[in-house]
Amino acid sequence: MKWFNFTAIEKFEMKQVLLSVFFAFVLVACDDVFDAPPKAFLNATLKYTDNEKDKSIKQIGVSVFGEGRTDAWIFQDTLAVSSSDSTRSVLIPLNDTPTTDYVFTLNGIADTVSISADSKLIYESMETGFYTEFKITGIEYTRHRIDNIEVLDSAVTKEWNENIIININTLTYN
Amino acid sequence: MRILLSILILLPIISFSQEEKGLQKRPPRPDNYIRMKGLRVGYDLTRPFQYIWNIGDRYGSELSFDMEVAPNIFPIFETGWETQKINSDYVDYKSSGSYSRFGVDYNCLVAENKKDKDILYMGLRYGFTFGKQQVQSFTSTSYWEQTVGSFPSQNINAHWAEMVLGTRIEVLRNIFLGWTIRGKIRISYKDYDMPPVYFIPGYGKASKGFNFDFSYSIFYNLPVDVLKIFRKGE
Repeated sequence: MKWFNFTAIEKFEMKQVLLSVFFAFVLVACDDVFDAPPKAFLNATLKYTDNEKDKSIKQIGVSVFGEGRTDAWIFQDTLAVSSSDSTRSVLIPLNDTPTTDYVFTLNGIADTVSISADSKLIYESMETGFYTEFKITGIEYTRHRIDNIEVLDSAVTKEWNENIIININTLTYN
Repeated sequence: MRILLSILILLPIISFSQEEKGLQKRPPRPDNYIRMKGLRVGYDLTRPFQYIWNIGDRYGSELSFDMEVAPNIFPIFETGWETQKINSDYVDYKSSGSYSRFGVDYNCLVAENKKDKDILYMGLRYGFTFGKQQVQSFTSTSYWEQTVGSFPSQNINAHWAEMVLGTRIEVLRNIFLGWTIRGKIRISYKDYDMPPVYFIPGYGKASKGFNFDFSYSIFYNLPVDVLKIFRKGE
């Protein structure tokens, strides 16, 4: 019997609820905030080939220019390096084209790095949008300061995992 | 108000458990008669203003038709259309389509007399939709050139079930106001690899298996006893 016994609720209260519910929901109104889509960066670790060389030169001055661009992606950046640190990382955006070329200037000496990668459009969400991830298929480079480049993880994603190690030759400073 | 709402929801559960303890057979309802004769037509006042509490620009329109065919049993048909737009710096998206739901409501509120048409009901619905979505453009900024693109229009369809709790209170003769709260459970939908279906008209966000919704409607009970006409025709 009690299952149906809603008549205990006063009709007056029912009507009050009826009217107030609507206004309560309207008050929940919120502004739209749309975040930018994430970005996939190639994470390159710079490292001296001979780690026992003079510690003072481990403060690597780095500039990174996209080939054909007049504005630098990174310009004479040394801030992230401490004298006791033998490595540093830089995050590099890749182009949607099959090959992305960068000029790395390491302590004043330039090397060109050409990164070949397959690109894939990724859906993040309709609120944020789309972005591109890459799969590294090959790397070519000049060897003025760069000794060699190792590929650790070919997937360039929004997670910014360590992708490559650029081993720098210290011999020119001896 | 929150307390009263909670009581409304919990009362049947408490009453039910108390009744189970006593193992008593429930006596028949005293209001075993049809109180609302004729078809009731409703218009959902919240559908055009959904952009207020949803992300992006969401709006639509919905009509409902219900009738008390047996004491406290109200079969119902709801139909409408809905549009969801997202227009940001990065995406220009639109999804729109028509949807329908049919089901039945059971009134839990005992009538005080034959003129008392107020109801508090629980109901079930089956809903389906046919619509289209399109990413008209998307943009991704970079140190290199901007990535700009679009996708062609995609047909979408979906099925879902709903659990409904609501009221319909007669505020003037034959005119009712009522709210519902709804839990929507996705049954199936046609999805795509790229871009995936984002919004299902009538259901909401496609990626969620359960969506919560509410409505607030105005109704008019057509003063024609349809069942009586049918009975005369027999």
